[in-house]
Amino acid sequence: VVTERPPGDPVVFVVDDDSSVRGALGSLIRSVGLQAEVFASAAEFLAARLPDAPCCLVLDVRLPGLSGLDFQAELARTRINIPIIFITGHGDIPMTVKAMKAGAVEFLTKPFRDQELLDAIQVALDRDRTRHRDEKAAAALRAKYEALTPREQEVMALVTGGLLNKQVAGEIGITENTVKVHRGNVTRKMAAKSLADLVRMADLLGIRRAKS
Amino acid sequence: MDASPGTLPGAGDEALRESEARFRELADNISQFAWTADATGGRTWYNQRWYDYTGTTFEEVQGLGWQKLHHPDHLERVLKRFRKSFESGTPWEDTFPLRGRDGGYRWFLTRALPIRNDAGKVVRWLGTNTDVTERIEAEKALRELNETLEQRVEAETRERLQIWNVSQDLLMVADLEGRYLSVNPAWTATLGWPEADLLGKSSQWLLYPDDREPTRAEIARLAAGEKTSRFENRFRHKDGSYRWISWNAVPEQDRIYAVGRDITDLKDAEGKVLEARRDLAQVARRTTLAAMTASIAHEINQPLAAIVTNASACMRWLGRPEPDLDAMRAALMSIGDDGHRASRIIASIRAMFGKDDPERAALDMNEVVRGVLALVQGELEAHRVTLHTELQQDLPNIVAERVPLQQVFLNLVMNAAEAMSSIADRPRRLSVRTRTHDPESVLVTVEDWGPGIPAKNMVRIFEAFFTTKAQGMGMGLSICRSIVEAHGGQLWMEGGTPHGSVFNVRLPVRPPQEAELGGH
Repeated sequence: VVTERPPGDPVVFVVDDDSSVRGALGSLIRSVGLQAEVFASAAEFLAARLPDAPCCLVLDVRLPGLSGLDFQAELARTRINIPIIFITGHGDIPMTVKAMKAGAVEFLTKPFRDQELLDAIQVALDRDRTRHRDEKAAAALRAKYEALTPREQEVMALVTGGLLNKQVAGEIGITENTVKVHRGNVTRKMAAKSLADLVRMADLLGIRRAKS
Repeated sequence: MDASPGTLPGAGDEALRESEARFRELADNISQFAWTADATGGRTWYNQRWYDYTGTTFEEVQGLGWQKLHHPDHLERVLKRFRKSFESGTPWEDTFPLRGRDGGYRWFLTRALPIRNDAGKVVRWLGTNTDVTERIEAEKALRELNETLEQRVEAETRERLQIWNVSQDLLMVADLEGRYLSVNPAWTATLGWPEADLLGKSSQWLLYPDDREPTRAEIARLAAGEKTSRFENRFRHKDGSYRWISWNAVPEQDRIYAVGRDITDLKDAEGKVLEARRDLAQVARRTTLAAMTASIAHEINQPLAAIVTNASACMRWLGRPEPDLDAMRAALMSIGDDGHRASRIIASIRAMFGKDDPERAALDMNEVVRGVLALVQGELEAHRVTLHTELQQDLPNIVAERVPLQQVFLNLVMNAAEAMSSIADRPRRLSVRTRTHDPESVLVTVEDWGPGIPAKNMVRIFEAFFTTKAQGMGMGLSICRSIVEAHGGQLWMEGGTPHGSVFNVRLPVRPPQEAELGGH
């Protein structure tokens, strides 16, 4: 879903089946200089392309077909980690708790103060910006890792698993000198400043391997 | 051997013989035994009948020889009276058994008269024995019968008295004014009052005030010859509490006979069932109300949220270095539109609940249906339901209560909308129609294009606690039906064509007067 375009301006998505409400929300969001895109249903939203930019979703709990809470679960299942701000015409506590537990940024009952919504949108966009950055870093890291040769990947997994060069050599049946060459290539290709840095990268990639 | 009656004194030979022959002829042909005895009782002659029966000879029975034919049980008594008569010269009369030639005994009434001479002295006795066995046996049988009868009557009386005494039911005999003449001990056991407090008075002083007049009327009916069956009234116990008694009574010859049973516990149980039913109906109404409140809150909050948000947006557009007049105009237009929209919603809610009086009034069912549809419009849109209405123009007004009927249609419409929420391959079409069913009633149908209801559930869906919904209590349709029936109408369902369900509500133009309404 994430496109390869360079990061752009943040976008706020609104999904509300009431045309008056979504119109007003769009106007309010645009009035503070943010981009707003409004949809009448979850399906319409899913059909749209998400930009390569920080974004968040303002979602009505009561939606035709799929409810807002079900939609939240659906998004989580499909790994679309967009921060969600719920709005509802008639919210109750169990519903709020459920939404917040599932990671919602905020749960607002209509009619709400504009500042509350705008603050929540800021929090959501910040959260998404961070997530976006982390995701981009992770993607870059994975790209570098995937550029390694299979043997280099193996050496990286064993070295970051805490094995000495000699042990690595014994483990995969090559000479210690060859291990040293691979290790130098790994450190250079991964742009690791130190062994500790390489270990952190291996952690993020989830590839550290202990001695078998 | 023939016995001779002996020589009759003062008679000539010829005349004597003739007289004797006649006598003998007579004596031998009478049905009784005849005999003569001398002054002391010694037998001197027997007639032929005697010998025929006893099978004896004169020698055996002459003098006092007859005694051997007597039954030993009776002999002493017989001799006592015999001696007394013969000694005093008074007639001898006795009844006793005599042994026949076959060894069996028969009963004989025996009479003997003294024959006196001119000087008044007893010269001999003339006696007869008459067979009275059949009479004696008949008497004995009768006596035995009487004894048995007496015993039986006595036993039955005892048993009946026992029933009277041990009965748990109140038994009572009263006159036609209802004054108690007799009451059984169950009265004291059940009501605490001793018999003496009850007799001679009617029940009026004991009755629950509301029951006095109906009881008086019931006694009047009894006095007029009618029977009472399961008449119920309340009697005051001596402890002040009241007991429900159910009566069966019959009049009979200036008397009333009545049986009463204490049904207080039964009544209490009945009351509890009714109470539970009322509570359930209450819960269901509250549930409906809660659902409606949520729906109303949502409906009103939508335009309010839009208004508030647009106002804020407008302020912010205004606050920008270069205010965006187009955006502000659009926001202000929306604010106006949403204000009107909120007002329309409130108007439709007022139309529903404004006239909150339980009185029946002339109702236009089209208006009722429109009010309900206005209220659920948002809900129907949320369910992506296409609404189709066919409301007959000149529909007659019906006399009914507004709010319960609105609940009925609200329920039916919401059920239809929910039923169709799983339908994806065809329009979710809801049709509501009104029309004149017959001159006396109006028919409202709510038809959906949902999955329909399996035939096996078609009857059950109207039962309390039956539900096909995950969150349903199963009260909706059962309450709907009772509301419709309280208006003298009918609620039934049938399968739709080609799919879905059709709920029909038939309401009479004039409901039955005495019907109590289900929903308030």
